[in-house]
Amino acid sequence: MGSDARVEIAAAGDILTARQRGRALAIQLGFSGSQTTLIAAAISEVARNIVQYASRGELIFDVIETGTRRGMQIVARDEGPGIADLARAMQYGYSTGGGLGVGLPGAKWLMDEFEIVSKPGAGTTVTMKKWVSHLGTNG
Amino acid sequence: MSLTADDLVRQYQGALRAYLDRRDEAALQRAYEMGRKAIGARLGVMDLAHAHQEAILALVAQGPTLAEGMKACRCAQQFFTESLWSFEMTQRGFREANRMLSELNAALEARARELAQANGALKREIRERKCVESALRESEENLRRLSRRVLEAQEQERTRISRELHDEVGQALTAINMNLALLRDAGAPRRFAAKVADLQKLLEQTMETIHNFTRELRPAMLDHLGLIPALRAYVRVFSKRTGLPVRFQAAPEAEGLGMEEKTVLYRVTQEGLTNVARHARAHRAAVLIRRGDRSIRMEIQDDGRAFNVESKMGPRKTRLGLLGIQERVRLVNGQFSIESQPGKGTTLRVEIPIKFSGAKSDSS
Repeated sequence: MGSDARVEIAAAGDILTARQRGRALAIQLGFSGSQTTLIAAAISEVARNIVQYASRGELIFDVIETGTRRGMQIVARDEGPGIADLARAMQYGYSTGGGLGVGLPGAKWLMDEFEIVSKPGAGTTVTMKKWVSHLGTNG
Repeated sequence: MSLTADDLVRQYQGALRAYLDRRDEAALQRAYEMGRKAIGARLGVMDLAHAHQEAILALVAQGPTLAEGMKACRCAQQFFTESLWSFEMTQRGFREANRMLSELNAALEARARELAQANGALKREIRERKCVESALRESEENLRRLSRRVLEAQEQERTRISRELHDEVGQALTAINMNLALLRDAGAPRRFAAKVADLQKLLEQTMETIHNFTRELRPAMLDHLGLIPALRAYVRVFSKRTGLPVRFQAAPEAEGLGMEEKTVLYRVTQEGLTNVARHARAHRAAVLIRRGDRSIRMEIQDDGRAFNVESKMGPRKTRLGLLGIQERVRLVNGQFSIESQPGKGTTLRVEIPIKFSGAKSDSS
């Protein structure tokens, strides 16, 4: 079941598109209602991050499977200025753009797996995964 | 542009209605963004819940039928959940921060313990060092005491020898002299008498030598008459022997010193004048004793050629006599110095502390 979807992020409106694609795939994979909401929230954050700091980038959706479970992978990539102090940026409450700082750290707490690679001048790549869980609504 | 709780109620209601009409992602996104904005405006979950409640009430009130109203409410659930995720994110953020804080605290505690241990180790080391220090000081004290004992023994030895020489040998010589005199007067031939007279002269010389030697060794005068008479006598003998005029002047307060201190001054004079005779090629010298504020000061001056003080008193210790003097002076808590300048001769200075009690008495 390898569906591969790519959404280009160049303007604020593209965030909506990304959410739509993401939610659709999530529902297809069998995520619960609140989990799809959670995924949409995470997509919002990483896409918003691209719009705000890199001006342009892309989101790539993938189905992932291990022997026992199934899930969704989202890769958010941009070639923007990159993050100078990654540890600090991933700290809750820190924000360079005058915003809340909920952003990337927020997405990290919502997803099951979260990886970020960023270097000044070399852009940022976020890879996050969520596994289908049948344990309840808390995601 | 800060959102108030009332703004939220209104906006929420509008957005919810739009969602119920279109049920699309855009409307859901709006819910999400609203939640985010609420956090930014420092509104809380309760404000959002309140907005939702108000909106629900309006829905039920405005729904054509109760059934439709209820259906609308159920749909609204999705919208509400969407708006709540920002708050959930902040919640998890706080939990994470809390966890990190605990870890930090634990690390700090561990660090504090480490520091306490290191502190303990440091304290122990300081104690050890102090022990070593006091052991060293004790050692120094012992050495001083030993030094003093040695010098005391030396003086005692000299006194003994002096006395023995005087008592035993001196007396024997006197007896021999007397017997010789008897022999001479016993009416013997002239050549015999002349020989006896020669013998007598030799004997007298020997007696004089012994006499001088014993006095040099330990002057009985020092013990019996006091420092100043003893020094005056010594200076006189010295002048006669060497042909060097020596001026002597002493403050009577000097007699207030103890036996040990007086001995030191006597020895200093002996050593000082001996050096003058041996090295200085002087024309005149002086021994002066004055009283200071809380001390007795002695100066031995000569107008001879100067010498390099450091080279004589330095590490190679070529003038043992001077070094011994320095140590003796130190043992009685005194100060010793030598000044020597070409054209100005040499001055040896000794200062010994004394307690002036008014009466001139031996404090030994």
